[in-house]
Amino acid sequence: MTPVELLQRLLRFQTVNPPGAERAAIEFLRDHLAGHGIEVQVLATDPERPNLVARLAGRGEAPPLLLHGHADVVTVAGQKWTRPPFEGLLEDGWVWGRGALDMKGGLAMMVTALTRARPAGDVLLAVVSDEEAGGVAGSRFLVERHPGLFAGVRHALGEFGGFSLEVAGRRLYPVMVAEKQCCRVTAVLRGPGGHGALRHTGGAMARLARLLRTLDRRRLPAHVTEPARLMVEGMAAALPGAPELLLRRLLRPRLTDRVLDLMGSTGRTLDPLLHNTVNATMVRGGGGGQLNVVPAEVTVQMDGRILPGLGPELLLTELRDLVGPGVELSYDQYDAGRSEVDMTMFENLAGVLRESDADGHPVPYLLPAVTDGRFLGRLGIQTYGFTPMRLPAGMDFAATIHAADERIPAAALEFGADAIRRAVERYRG
Amino acid sequence: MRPTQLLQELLRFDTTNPPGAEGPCLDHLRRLFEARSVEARMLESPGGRPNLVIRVPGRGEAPPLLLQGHVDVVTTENQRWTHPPFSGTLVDGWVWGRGALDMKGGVAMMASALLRGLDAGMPPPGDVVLACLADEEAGGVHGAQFLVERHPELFAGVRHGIGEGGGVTQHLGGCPFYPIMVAEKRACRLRATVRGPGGHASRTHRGGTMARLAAMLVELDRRRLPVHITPVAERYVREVAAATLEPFRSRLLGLLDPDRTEALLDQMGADSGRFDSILHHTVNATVVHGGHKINVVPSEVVVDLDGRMLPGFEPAEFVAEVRALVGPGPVLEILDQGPRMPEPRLGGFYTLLGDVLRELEPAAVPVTFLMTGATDQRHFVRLGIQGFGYLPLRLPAGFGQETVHAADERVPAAALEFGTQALSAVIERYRGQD
Repeated sequence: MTPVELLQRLLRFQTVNPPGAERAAIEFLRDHLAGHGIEVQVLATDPERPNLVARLAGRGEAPPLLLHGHADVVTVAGQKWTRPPFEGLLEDGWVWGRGALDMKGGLAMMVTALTRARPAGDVLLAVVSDEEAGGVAGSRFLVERHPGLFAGVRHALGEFGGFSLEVAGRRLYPVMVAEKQCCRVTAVLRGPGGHGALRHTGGAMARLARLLRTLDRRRLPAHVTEPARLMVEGMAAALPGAPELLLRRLLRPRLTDRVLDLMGSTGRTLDPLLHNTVNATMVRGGGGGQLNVVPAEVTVQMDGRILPGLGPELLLTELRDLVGPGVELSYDQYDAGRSEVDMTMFENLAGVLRESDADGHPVPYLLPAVTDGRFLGRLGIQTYGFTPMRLPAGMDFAATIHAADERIPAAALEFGADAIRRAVERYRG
Repeated sequence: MRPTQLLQELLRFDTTNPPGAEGPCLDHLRRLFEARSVEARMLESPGGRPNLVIRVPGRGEAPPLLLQGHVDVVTTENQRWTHPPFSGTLVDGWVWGRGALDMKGGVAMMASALLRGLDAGMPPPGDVVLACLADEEAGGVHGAQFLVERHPELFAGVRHGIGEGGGVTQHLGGCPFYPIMVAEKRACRLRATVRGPGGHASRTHRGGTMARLAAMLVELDRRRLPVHITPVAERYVREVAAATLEPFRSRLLGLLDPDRTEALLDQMGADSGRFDSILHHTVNATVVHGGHKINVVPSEVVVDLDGRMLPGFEPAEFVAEVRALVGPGPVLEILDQGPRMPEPRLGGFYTLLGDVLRELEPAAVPVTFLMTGATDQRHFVRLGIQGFGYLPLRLPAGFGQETVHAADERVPAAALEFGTQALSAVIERYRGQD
């Protein structure tokens, strides 16, 4: 089966999370791998949401290497698709469907690479459920309940990297080497409550207004973390001239914010890589049928994103300094990930990409979001985002995932499967 | 019967509305009257909410008089109370609890006035109908509205009614004023929907939905709606001014000049509150709800607005003013609106209410008052009953009605006794005077 056929089959399993219901897709891959004589086990905390771990035996000349990917996808609700999202349609050299990029396409590449590779050391492939909704039934379950599966693994290839991105006429290949971490921040705003028939000023609603306005207008302090520095230096080296000068100035924290403002849309993309961020996403106050009561308390929940290694306490301190007194702040749901970046495998991956595309510029990439890599990071495993795909100029990977008309060039699947195979075969730890 | 003790008993029933659950509290009142062989009827709304209507027979010398009050209360959620809100605690001469002012205190005074007459063997000149109601705080659908629509015969012949919304001391310029409520503002509740670009919360968002929400709330907090001088408000301001000294008097009269109103209110500080809301429509954001997922910036946030219109205005005029304040962005829709009210008549009954106050407290200055909220009076208006807000409470300077609907609601025991005496006097001297 070619990687294109494999992806078409995978797209036809409806694995929208929630509920996920990844079982049929996982069983299909289990049978496919077993058919190639590869040892596979299936582990589940929820029988409808199993996880697959395959092991391809190597020659014992290298430590084990892990490939990991997820089989669930995000919703298509409220989106207008021009092609059906769950039929695996191949048309004019494109495969259409929810998950084509995120990340059933990547799974097709990994599975194909595994069935073709002759590796020096063992290669593990983990195909998991539940990445899009917190990993409780997937990677988190495997890491917490079956850590022995990953004994000896130091490096892994996962999602979010290796796709081409046109910047200033150059074709960059970002390879994720670190990800931000997330937590939920809760702000409680209090004020004198009272009767809705009188004029009230300066209460909980006014404080809410001030908080939201401050969050909209101001940034938390700039930080140049190691992965951000590697990324910006990599971009600067690939983009000579004026962009190089601007990029290098970004790395001086006193200038960072001013340079970002000068950079326009590129600045908005780079902004979250140089700051801890919070976005207010949920706000609740009053209610319970009491429209005539001015609430004494309003609660705002914020999605907090923390640069690698900085931790949630610092985020809270920075936020307190920004919003001032009178806002009660706390955090929870913090998933710690790796705080150090291990670049030892990066040159292997960059070399593979340069062979595949002589005009390509691989650059390290700091992901502003989270992947399952954070759970594996707890076992000391460094994940690199590496599902290589050469995309046509003008196609924006990050803007196409999770959106309508998600699709991938059929040629990119062979491109990626071959690149992963070579990276795996060259891996020596 | 001591109103303080009765209030303590009533406060111990948790009648937070929703759900209300007024039954046990009303049963307690019913038993007090049945023990004195007075007819007390429980009337249950189609929604299963009880209302108690008591008819104390008179001597046939006056038309029936209505006393009406509600026993449901608003929530105490998220409030920090010094004493538990449903304990009926009496400390240092104050009764603490949710409903002490709004308005189990009033119900206790009305009931006590009638019970005293019964215990003394002195029937009132005409029948007195005491309506103890459910559901006022949530619109009165299961309370006053239900009785007015389904049992109007209970109120046949009633021309005047007494309820909440007035009679409470307002200290201004060293003078104890007693506003008697003769008109109410009219509710017009709105829903504002703020929309903006949503997206993944790992990215930076500027000027999105939350920023637009902030902009709307900032305007609602900082700015007033335009000034309107209505006849009842003007009469109140002039009566207060007449009893105060310079320079306060000139400043008060200046409030009636729309070009100076805002500036004068801003200079008045804490005293401005009572004038502010009778010279403007008001609008408060009271409910905000937006977002369903922690990692998705919402594309929509909904804010409910408690709007109150001055008498004589229509919702379209009000919405236009709110629109001018919040700008073109938010979608505004009307959730519901209160009924229109007739022009008040200030005749013999109004004079009696003021006379009684002056006799009990010679320094008292009764004044005409426009209620900033809505009361159950608006339902009884439909039966042709003219309502007056008159639950006399003699409150010390420095304590107003800030605790209504808020934490630490409380009332002095002495104020309850004052109010009971005033209501007894009004009942005794009522002859149907218009």
